[in-house]
Amino acid sequence: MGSVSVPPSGGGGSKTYYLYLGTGTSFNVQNAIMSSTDRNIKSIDYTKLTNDNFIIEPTSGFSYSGSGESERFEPGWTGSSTNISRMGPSKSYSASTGVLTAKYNWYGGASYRVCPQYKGGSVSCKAYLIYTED
Amino acid sequence: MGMVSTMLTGNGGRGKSCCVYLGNSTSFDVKTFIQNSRDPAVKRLKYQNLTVNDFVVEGSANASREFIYSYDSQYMNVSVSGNGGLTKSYNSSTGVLTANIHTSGTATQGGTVTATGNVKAYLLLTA
Repeated sequence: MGSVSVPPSGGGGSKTYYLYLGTGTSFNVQNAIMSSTDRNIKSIDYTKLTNDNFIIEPTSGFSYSGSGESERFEPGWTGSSTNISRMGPSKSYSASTGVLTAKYNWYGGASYRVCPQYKGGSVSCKAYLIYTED
Repeated sequence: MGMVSTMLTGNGGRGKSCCVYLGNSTSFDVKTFIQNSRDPAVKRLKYQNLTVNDFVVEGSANASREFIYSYDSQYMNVSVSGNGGLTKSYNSSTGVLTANIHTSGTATQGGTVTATGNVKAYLLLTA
């Protein structure tokens, strides 16, 4: 195992609250706040929230495959190509509508002269509202 | 816009739901964090009783890797494959949370690329 991070101890200061918003790609934060039974959550003004108030966790991984026929050149010809693999969170919160849109995008594959084999997509996520009191 | 998900009862009616930020890394010493905490709600926790579901994590940025390679074009058929996702596990014996976001891709003539990224991690507390 590599180095293990020891989080700062904190405590004694402002509290941070969370609200589980569900699983999917779009979340009605305004309704979730209004429906919460936690008064700390219920007092949150949804118009003051930003992307940083949400944390998203992918609900699944992804896999892809593909094949094709590349252009044949004379043996000995060499070219260059690209191999790439990428995954990351994408989230957008509208403070006016109170709706969070969130997903994890992925992209992978390799380029060839004739038949690039790039593929991409997204996976849904579990979303949480994270709120630290003033 | 597609269907909008709303959880009507918030945290299932279980009352106060607090959380603490553990940091941005791939491995977190939860045991030491609890022992050093000055927050009574955290101090009360027993790291041995926590499970992986007590933590929520988010990829802090794209896990991305790319390289340029050369190939001998006598190979006519090409293929690519890959996978990725989130790894999250908690060892209740050591009190260490391990999590990362990762991808890999393999191309017939381009070898394999792999990438691993940090996550932002929170410990969930429900009073």
